[in-house]
Amino acid sequence: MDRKLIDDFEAAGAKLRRVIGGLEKEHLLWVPPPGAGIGRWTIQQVVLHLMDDELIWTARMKMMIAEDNPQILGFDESKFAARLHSEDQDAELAVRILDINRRLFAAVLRKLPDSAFARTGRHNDLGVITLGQSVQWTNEHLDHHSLYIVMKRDRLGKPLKD
Amino acid sequence: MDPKLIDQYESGGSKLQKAITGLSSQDLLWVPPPDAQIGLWSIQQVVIHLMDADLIGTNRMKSIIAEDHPTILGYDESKFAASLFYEAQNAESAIGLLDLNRRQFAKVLRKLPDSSFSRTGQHNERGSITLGQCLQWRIEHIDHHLNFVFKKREKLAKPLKE
Repeated sequence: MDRKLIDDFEAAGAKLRRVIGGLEKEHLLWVPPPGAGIGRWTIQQVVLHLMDDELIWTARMKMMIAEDNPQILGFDESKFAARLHSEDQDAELAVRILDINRRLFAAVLRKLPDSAFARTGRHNDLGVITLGQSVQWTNEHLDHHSLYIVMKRDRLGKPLKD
Repeated sequence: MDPKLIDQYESGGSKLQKAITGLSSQDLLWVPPPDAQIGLWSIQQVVIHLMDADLIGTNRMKSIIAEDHPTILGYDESKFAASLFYEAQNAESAIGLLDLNRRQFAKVLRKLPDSSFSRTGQHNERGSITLGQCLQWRIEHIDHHLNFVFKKREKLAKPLKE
């Protein structure tokens, strides 16, 4: 287990905050035109999706640590995005929730021996998954969506400044 | 659906914050004697348990809102308390996360029509459960544990001041 993965896991909230920095409500709620190749969701939907997904994956990882090969059920992210009124939420609050959740859970991950990252769960769509994979996927998931947020920003004429 | 329930849900974080006011980390980590009838967990374990249970509860309510009669799996709270380093986590951050998460999700709940609170999920141990019940349980769950926290405070000679 590469412990740097836990540092990356912990730092993701700050990364996401930076990626949406300086955007106004109208930018967060802008719907990309179909066919633009930059994803169909608004930036706000992406942020709320990341928070929802994050909290579900943390619960799964806790189960894998505490229980023996627990059953894990997939969820329908499109229905979550469509039905949880993401347009009326506060993106900044969602980022804070994601950030605190990652910091708290990183402290748990750091206490675990390397062997714990091979602990498993049985996912109904993905099959047998390990704790280590879950940490990695959670990191990659945020990076994947951040990339699309950056493309949306370019299209909005609000590029991310280095 | 009584809108006051959502207000009560939203204020659960402040209630919990108030209940542990003035306690040192030594107080938080104090383990009650087994025969004291005030619960076996330290106050810190109670706080982290409330956070874990709340986050899982929100995941479930989101599934019930977004999906049609989703399957919901129970989890082993004793194993969570024993395996997730509850004594080493940060109680303040945990309450902060519970609080922000409730504030965020209360906004979602307020957007729903009354009929949504009859939406159901299929719990593998409890059978069919409604969104309205889940909300009520979340409120009662904090109240239930706070009763024990107050008794622990008295035993610690740190009663809560009104």
